[in-house]
Amino acid sequence: MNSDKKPIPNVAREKIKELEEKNNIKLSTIQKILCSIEGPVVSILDVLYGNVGLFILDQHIEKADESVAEKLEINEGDEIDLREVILHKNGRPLVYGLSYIPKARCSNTVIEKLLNEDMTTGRIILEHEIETLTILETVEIREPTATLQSLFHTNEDFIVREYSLIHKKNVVIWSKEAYPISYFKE
Amino acid sequence: MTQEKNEANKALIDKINEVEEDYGKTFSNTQKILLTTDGSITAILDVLYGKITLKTLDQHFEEADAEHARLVNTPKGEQINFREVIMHKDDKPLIYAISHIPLSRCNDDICSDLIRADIPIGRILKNYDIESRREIRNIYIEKPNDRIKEIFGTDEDMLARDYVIINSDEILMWIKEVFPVSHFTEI
Repeated sequence: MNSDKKPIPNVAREKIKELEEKNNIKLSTIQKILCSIEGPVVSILDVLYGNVGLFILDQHIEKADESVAEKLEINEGDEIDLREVILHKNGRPLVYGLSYIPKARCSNTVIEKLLNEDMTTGRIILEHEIETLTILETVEIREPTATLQSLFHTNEDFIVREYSLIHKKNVVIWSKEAYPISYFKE
Repeated sequence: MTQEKNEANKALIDKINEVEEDYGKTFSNTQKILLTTDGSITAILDVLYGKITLKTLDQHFEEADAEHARLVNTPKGEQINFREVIMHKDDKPLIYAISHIPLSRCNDDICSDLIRADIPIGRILKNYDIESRREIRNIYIEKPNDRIKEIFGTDEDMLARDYVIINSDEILMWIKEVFPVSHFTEI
């Protein structure tokens, strides 16, 4: 803890403002909330839609390349869990999620849950009473990748946010969430 | 990430649904989010309204009575910081909040921030890189007391929730937040 720090600005508010000005758009209330909340969006989606479902697109352990190692502050080649999911309500895709989780920083139980159960990382964090600090890295509008176009059946722009969750002073999850800009308009 | 399983937060949607059914009214999405979020409410209001400000109505130390001790899980008689604040945008009061913080669980820096300035708790936690989690205890409708009526200038029913912020497996603070049922219906 740093006693010399002055109160920091609200990073989310500044990033959202920057996004709105740069793209000349206004985000809706719900979009703003989804961009600014601490931690995964699933708890908000649960409240808005009733329990949302999880469809796992890909889930496996692999060795971190340079880019992922940098995100997670681990060594290149360390094992990570890669998770690519869609949160959906009755089959309608709501949010795409990509997570990198350093295997060495998780208990076996958490890793088993990640690998074997259709449970979101957000729900796993809640259930296991994991204390975290959220570091918001990016809130941006981006053109969709081919995967996103195919999953959401649209070629419109996407709202993307990227953040890290810190636990015991280490990054335990790096996440990206994305959804079409026309979603969550009200 | 090693802790054991907890189901305390599982029923948040059920809690909201129950309050809606009992009250016979559907709450807005923003109201539901403000009542159930496990993140900082100040951060959300900041994003929705532009920078909001905090006015401290009261801030003092007192010895925990049986009820306060129960809320923060400390022995009776322990020193706690009591804080009563209004989050507002310009002159409009948005949310009234009270908090109890056991002194033994916050370091000197956090204590001095709590005492010296109108800094929201969420921002204090962020400032000092505090890893934490929130457990929503109750979500309910309540009648306003005279103080709340005066603050909001209304005698309508209030939506309220109370929750604890947990750090290092101990309750760092207990917080109650209250706002009129007509607030956050349009935004």
